Amino acid sequence: MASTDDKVILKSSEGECFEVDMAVASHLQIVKSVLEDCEGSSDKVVSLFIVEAKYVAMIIEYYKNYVELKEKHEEGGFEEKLKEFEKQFLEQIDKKELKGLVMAVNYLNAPALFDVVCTAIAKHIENKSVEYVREYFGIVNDFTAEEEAQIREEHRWAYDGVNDD
Amino acid sequence: MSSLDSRIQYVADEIAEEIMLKLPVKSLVRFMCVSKSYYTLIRSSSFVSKHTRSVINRSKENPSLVTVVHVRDGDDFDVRLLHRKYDEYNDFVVDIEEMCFMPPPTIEYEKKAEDFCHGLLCIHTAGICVLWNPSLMKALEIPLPATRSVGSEFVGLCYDYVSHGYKLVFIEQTCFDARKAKVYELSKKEWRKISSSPAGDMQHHQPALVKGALHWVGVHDVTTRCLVIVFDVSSEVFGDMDLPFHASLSDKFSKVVSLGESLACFYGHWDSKLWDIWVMKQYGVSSSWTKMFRLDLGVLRLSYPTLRLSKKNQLLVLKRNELLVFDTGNEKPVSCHSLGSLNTSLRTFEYMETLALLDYTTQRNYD
Repeated sequence: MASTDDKVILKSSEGECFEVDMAVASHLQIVKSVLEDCEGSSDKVVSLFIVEAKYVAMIIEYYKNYVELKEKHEEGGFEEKLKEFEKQFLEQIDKKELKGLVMAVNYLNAPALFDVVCTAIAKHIENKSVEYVREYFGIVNDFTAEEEAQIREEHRWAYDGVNDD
Repeated sequence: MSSLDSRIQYVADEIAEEIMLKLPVKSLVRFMCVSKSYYTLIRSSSFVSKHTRSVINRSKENPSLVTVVHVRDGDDFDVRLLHRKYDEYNDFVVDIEEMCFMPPPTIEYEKKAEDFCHGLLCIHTAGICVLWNPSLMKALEIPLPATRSVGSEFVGLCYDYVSHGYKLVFIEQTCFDARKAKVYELSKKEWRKISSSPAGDMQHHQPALVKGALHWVGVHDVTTRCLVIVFDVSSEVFGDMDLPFHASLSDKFSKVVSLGESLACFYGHWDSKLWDIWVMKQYGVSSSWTKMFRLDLGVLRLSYPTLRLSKKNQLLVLKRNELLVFDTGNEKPVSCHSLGSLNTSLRTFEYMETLALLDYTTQRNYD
């Protein structure tokens, strides 16, 4: 049985606690550096002040599977199995959550998942309109109408085949 | 305490940039109009080179190809790129799109030479070179340095993996004078002389880009032996390497090409149908040249195919108008796909998208 030394508690913004294996939590750079800073202390609780519980749960789910698959497929085939899992994993996350997740993952500094979520968002916005991207990313349009029209005119071909929804 | 979700609706620029790096060229060109900061970001040289780098990495996994077709109408000609993907698992070629370009009239149809490197097509004749980025529908004319005699120039388009930018190298080859080489960095917009020069005459256009260096088959000035002339793109120094065989070029022909990350070499008679493909298994080590394939390629008509290995470890040969698939140890192809009719001049290259040249025009200042 794993000793409690191998566990760490992650606390969400709502104060909800998640007990996680160190092997899983060490993929989050921020947790790693917090634990290194207070090495020797028996208190293994890391507060993730601005990350909501639902995102903490998603991130733990991802890395739990990541660690398990890596162990199971040491001989090879890990990457394919991980891709399969990532596909399932992303299917249960809606577009708005994807955005919250990318910010959470960025804050926790977890490179593998960051890459996966960025790719998913890129796929999602690839064929979207400029207006959609502004809204999705929370960007204010600071072009004048003339400036915008001119830029659109220069690359009119890039505006074909856009789906607005 | 407020959470990320409710507190920040705005996706930080550094996250947005990571997402942008994964987008195709067309989406990025459209999203220039999201805001002034997006416009500035997407057109910045650093973003363009980061994006190019990420596309190079992705295209290794999922290659697509373009067939370059020249259609002539009187004195005019236009260039069409037929963009396709080869589906390795189903052994099937899928059409994606056709892109068309009219080169400036200063490009002489009869004398042009062309090359394709990381998404840019380079067409050149005496005095001028045109770079065309089909994914951006943008072209750039670059005047070539003056030469003493017509047709003595060799131009190579390459990508510098150290400084992350495209470069042109220009070599003038004249029998009564030492060779001179110049380099043009797309980001600097001018030709500059370099001190290094090749040790022999180049025998073909379309150098092979392998391991950050360009390669041509050449003939050494002093020994008249055939060798590989190497130009290291980032250090801008010429060198040479041995070919796998000692040959004079009077009876047999040879060209170096890239095969994945390796340098490979064709060897055979123009009128024979059988060609040997040698591969330098360990780059830079002459003793590692190994004869890997003997292929029945039919008559090559002064144009060498492009090679690549598929994930199923088959050899794909992109001839002028055909894609041939070979199993190891077999002279005859296991399948053959038509890429176009032979009536028009055509060549097939590997294709990738690039934002190159986007940062190259007059920039509006929205900072």
